[in-house]
Amino acid sequence: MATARSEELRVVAQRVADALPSEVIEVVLTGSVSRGMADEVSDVEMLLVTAEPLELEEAYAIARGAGLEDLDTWGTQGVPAKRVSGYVEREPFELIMWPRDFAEAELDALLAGKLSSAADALAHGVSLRTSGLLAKWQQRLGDYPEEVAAARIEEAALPWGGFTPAGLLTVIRPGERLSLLEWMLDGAVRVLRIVYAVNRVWEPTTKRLAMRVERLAVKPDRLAERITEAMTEPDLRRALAIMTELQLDTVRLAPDGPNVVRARRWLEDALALLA
Amino acid sequence: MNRAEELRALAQRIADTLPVDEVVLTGGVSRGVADEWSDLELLCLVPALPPLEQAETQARVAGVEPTTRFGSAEITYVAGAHEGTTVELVWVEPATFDGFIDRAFAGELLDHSRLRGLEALEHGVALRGGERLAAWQRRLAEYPDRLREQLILDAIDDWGGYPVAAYLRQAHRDDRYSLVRVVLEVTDDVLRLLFALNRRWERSWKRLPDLLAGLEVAPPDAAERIASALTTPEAREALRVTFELARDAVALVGPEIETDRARAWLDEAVAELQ
Repeated sequence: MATARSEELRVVAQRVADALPSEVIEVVLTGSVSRGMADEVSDVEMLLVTAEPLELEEAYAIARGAGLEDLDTWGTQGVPAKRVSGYVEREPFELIMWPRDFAEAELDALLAGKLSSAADALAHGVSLRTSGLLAKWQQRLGDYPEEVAAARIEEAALPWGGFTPAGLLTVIRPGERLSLLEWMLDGAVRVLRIVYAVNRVWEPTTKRLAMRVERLAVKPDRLAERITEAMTEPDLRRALAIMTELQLDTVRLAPDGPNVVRARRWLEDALALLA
Repeated sequence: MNRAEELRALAQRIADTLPVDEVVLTGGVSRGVADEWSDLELLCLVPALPPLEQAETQARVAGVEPTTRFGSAEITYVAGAHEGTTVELVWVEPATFDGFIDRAFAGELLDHSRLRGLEALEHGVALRGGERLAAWQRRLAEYPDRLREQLILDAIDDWGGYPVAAYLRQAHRDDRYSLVRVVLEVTDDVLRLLFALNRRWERSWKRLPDLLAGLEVAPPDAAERIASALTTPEAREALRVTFELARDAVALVGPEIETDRARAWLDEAVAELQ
């Protein structure tokens, strides 16, 4: 069941989509509105596919023509993808514009293993205007290639074994909370990468973690809660132990591979050191 | 012998067995700040990168039992243990560092891990040979203006271009995981900005209070404020402390670098979080 807020924003989004010129051949609603999860602080995110590449000024003109005000851009400039933010009826909008050729190349890259939340965004995207691209892309994304999952899991487990387990103790020297949190955040990112890949689910953005992992069939017990516990535990050693145990439970769910097998041993040793 | 001297002696023994003309000790041991947890990091300068098997054999001959390895176009890497001490061996062609330094002086090398490599050279100690290291250290004694400008622009780039209020409301509604991500990203940008501002080669952020104490220009109590942002249980407060520090750091940048957009955005962010 979509939230009332999602319905409301969806109507505004459709109005914007309908006002776009014909050179925009595909409009995909993404983000929390497309999933029906929008709340009072959500914005509207849309992917626009254009027949031809655009300059930033042209992207602005298209956004303005569809009713966006207070336009701005963010992120890397001088690349084929254009990003425009603005407001419609005081609701914040983020438009990403891809030229068609770029979009097709991006799809190929995603299916070949490129890490990006775009795969998840497109897989759950809702069409607001279409020339058939989204349906074709969603069909392709419906089959998460096994070799992509395997490579992603092995890559994620790589750092868990690169040094003697005692080296981990350098991040819990007194006063090292920044280094510890950097290590634990990296650990959490890798845990989630493995869990999503094991479930053959495209990895989403990092927002609203608890809600997103809830639906995964295979995962360590209390996954989101343990990440929070590790990141809020005042005692550095205990925090690291919580994260290490979560990492260990995660690689135990993963299929064997050289890095995964090594990580299981290494994390067991590390956990024993921290006990 | 204390731990630092022990590690230094071990490094020399390993360097002496490697079939390499020039070996550089980097990391905590080369800086003289080693403790019981420190590992050894050795850089082997070679005319051509060895294949992984050959690198592993060299490590074994030197008494290091390999536990991990990888190769790229830039380095061959083998890490392992020597009687409980982690030893990291990195093979690099000198031309790679020449290229990094050229690109850094052109303001084109912004990647944190590669810049850390230059900082490692700056504080490296020659265990074998040393002519190349000395030449690099002469170049690295100067900090390039172009790099300084580009790193500062890169650090402030995220602060602007999208609506402040919506972004912050999402950030403090969210899980601790997302919050930590935001706080670490902003803190990383702040630290990179401060190192560039002070014309210091950036490095890993371990021993942060000492690092910040060594900077001439920095916001007051920067280390304490970072620690507070990382430990405060209240999300909104963590964000406020983080963005106030970012605002104070950007305020230190001189007029030679365009920071208006970031200043306005950060002012708005801090006001929103009050």
